[in-house]
Amino acid sequence: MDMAPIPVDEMVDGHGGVRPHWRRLLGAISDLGHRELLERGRQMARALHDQTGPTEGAAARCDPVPLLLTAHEFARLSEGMVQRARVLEAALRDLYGQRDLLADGVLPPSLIYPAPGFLRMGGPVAGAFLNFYAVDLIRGPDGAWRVAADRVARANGIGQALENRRQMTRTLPELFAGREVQPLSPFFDAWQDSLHHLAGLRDRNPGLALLTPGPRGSLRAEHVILARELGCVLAEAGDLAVRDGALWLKTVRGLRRVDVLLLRQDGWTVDPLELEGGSTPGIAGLLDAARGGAVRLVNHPASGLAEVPGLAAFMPALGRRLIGEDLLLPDVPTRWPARDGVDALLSDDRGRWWLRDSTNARAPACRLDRAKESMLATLRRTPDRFVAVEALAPSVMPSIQPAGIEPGAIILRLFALFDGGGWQVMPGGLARLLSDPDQLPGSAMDRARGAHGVTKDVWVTVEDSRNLVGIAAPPMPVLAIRRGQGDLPSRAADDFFWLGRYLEQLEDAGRILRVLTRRIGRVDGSPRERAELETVLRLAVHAGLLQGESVTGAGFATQMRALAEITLEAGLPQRLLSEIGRVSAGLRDRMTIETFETIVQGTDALRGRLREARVAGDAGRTLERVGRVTDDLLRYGATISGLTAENMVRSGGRQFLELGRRIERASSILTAIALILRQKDVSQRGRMEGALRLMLELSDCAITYRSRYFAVFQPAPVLDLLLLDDGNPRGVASQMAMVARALADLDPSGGTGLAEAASTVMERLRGVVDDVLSAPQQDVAAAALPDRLLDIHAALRDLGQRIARRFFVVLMPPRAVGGSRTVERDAIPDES
Amino acid sequence: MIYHVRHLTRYSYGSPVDLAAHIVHVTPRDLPGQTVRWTRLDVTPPPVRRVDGTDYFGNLIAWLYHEAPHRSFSVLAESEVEVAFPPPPPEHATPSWEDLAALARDGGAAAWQVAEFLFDSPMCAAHPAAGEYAALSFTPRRPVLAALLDLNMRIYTDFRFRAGVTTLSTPIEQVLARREGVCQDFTHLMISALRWIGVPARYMSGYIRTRPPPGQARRLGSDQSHAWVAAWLGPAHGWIGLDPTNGIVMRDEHVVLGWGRDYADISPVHGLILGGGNDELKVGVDLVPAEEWDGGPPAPDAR
Repeated sequence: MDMAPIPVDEMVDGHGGVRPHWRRLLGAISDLGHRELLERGRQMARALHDQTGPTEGAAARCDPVPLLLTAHEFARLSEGMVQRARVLEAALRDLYGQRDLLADGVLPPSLIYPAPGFLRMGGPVAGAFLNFYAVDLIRGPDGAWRVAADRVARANGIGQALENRRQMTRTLPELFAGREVQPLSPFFDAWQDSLHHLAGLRDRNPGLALLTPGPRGSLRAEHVILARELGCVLAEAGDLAVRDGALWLKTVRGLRRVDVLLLRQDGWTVDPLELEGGSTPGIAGLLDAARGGAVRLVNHPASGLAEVPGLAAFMPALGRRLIGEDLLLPDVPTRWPARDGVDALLSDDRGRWWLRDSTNARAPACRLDRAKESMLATLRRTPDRFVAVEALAPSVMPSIQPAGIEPGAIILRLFALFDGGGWQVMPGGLARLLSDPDQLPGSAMDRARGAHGVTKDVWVTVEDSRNLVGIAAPPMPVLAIRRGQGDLPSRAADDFFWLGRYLEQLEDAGRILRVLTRRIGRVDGSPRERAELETVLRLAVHAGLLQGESVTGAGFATQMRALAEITLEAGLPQRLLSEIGRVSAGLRDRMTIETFETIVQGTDALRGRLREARVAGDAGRTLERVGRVTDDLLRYGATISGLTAENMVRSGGRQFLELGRRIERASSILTAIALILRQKDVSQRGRMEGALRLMLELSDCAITYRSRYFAVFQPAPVLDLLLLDDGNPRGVASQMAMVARALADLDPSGGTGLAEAASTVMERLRGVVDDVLSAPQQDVAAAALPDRLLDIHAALRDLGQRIARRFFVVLMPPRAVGGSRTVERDAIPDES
Repeated sequence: MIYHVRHLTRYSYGSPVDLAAHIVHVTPRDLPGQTVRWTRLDVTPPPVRRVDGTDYFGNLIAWLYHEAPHRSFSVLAESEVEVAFPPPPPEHATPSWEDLAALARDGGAAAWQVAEFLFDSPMCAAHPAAGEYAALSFTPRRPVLAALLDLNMRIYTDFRFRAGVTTLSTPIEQVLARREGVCQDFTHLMISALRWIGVPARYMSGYIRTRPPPGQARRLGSDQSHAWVAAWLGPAHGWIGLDPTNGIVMRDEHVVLGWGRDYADISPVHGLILGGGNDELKVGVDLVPAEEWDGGPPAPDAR
């Protein structure tokens, strides 16, 4: 029996000595010590979590020990990578054109026609297929790096690479001490320039957009980072539409041209009209618009064909045929059983081979020695449906694990871009620990698992000047002029509006809870206190804090128990916090990092505290603790408001957040007043005073009132303070003044009539207060108000809906008619 | 034979459709044995953008875009087409099906184009049960044409044409078990069988003569668009059209719109719409000899 080959250790040379460029790093690592490194690793994980927010499942974390590549090593890898990119571009050009590669027998038809990445389009592809390209590399026991996969449809992980570098620089400055590590940002600048050049415009700024499937999924953070670095609008299919042969983004100020669209999804999903479509939404007519030259797609969706796994068995032949060169960077040894023999493969040591689908890169691979008989039968019947990939032992390097510093197998991803003249490779990359020995390294399943695993920063070190000869500094192309992406997509505006409303609903819930927890503990049973408590409970029901009217008539113990329930996941505060987290994740690219982190940390902490507040079986103690969390809820709202007022939002989202908050706030004040005035016998002298106090307490205006009127409570002054006094920041008038300001910003001409509707609300409120003031008996006049107030409240809601219709209506998902596009591929998890 | 073809597709929507994008495959293409004398395409309401072109397989298509609200959408295609497909070669002149399958699978200069029609497609994968059904016709070393004609006839005899018992997503097993269906089902069944066996097979879309020649029975599937199979006989003889719904060879009763790997590649009208609801679809097809056509002369925009 063969001895299992021994994997290469990245740190040591062939003679057991530490390779020179690792020495200093090892020194720094042992100076810090395991415990400290573990803690720094945790800091990076927390920072990353705050960056990405609540995505489904944890994102990959960054290990403190980077992978080091010497400048010489990197130069050789990038030379090989550039060569492959040229071969793949030429192969795509041929396979979607003349197809000489098939006619001349260089490639078998069975590798191309059945491939899901082969798109059957109506018309040729103009311009280059590839703008970016990535390879997955593993270093086998012989010390040579080999290609495990070519990546062109997504090439994800570049955002993570950048983020890892930022975290490392911030968290582990000691490791960088005294050494030069090549920076990553020039690569992103060059990438952005290449997109501007692709747009080819002289007369205006190009519209760049990145098509993302939506705020869920582990790739959201990747898309957000990329969009930010490349100056793209992050758009979902529903934000985009083809009209008049061009691609448009729906923004709050109307349609805006998109000249370059970055795609990060399977090619066949991008245009459900012309192609098969799939579970990821696409844009009908996109390929037609691209053919007409109105929009450039990068990478072109048809380029996914370059990921066909079986091509690995033909790469040397493709290199010679298409560019007349021998490849510098070999593939992991791959057999094509239809050519190299099924029997030869089966009689070989089966444990040495992985069997994988020859055309579908997303299909799971399986070790040949574990292949089921049915699969072997299919292999014998149709050998061209499979390729066999050698199971190389990947190189290992140390990583920081809880138990100590442990070696782990790694895979390396490098990234390149085409700048119009040639290819540039990013001097760095993303290394990943291979966590599951049952998955073929670099395959879709391996990547899907790795999306939640451990990654590493990759350093190209400038240690030894002699090695620098390999990399000539590429001539920098002239920088294109860049400006901010002006208008806010309607979807983002909608999200800001709702974020504002949720934040305000949370505060409203907090205020009601505070009043409730203060009172419910010390009810002395007087009819007045009892009635007031009933009113607050009714408000709580109205706000969604408590379920149903049963609570309001129920006994004290029932009420306590019901109130304790609000700590549960299904309770309103938990739901609102989770919605705030969800909506913010969708807006992550439009907030400052600081604001986003504050929101995410705050929601996480508050949700935890609510959960902890629950004392099983003891409603009284639960409520005591809820009372304390309530103060935090209110503080949280105030903090976010403060940040908003500062500089929370880029490109116009602030107005929508304000609109959402202010309309919500104004309507909750109106509801509270109306419900309080609906109390039985409220016009009786003693009752009215209590009602007015409650209004002031609920709207946080008690102190302001006392500073003006001392301890005398009368309806007209209270209503004036709550409804009309624009010097009272917590009253309706100042909310409406801010609504008017935001509307004036968004709609300077006033053509929408929205500002008018807002001022009508104020006029009607002035009428209300005037009537009370001039009434012979203010208490009686006030008691008659609820229906009028609720009418005005309805007008306010209507204003909210009109704003939504005017600014947010995004394109609904279209329906398919005719055809057969109900056939969907199996959903495959997102991959890194 | 010269035919007049008229194909109307009309959608009525219960509520207005605001945006629509369609691709239509309703214009016949020229090919050996078929000449399109004139053809026209009327779309109501008129689209804001119309692009005429060809699809991946070279079939004639149009992209149609509507951006104003509308309550109905109709596509009327009218053509005059002359057909005279050559008779099939003598059976013994065609290669054995085993040789043909090997040739097709190898690709290369002789077969790299036809190889496309060997592989699974979204609606039509090589199917063992279909293959088993067809195996009776594909006896060892039998000339491929003899085997194909036999299979074509067997499907015609064994299966009953019955509308409404199947849909586009009815699996082949069910068609095989119930022995009934419509032209699409029989076509998909035969293609799945041929893909299992290794003979390149295309899904043909078009029409069959509405009224039969005097003294013959009315053909099945004539009031809708029709589907049948084309199978490859090798480089010397090319493709032959086989209609398992009627048990006949394509000669002068069919008009070809185009072809693909399965229905999904060539559905006559498909699109994406925004809005609508309670849609109603009406399709009407006429294929009559030109001399029997009394619908008047072609409209001025005919080409």
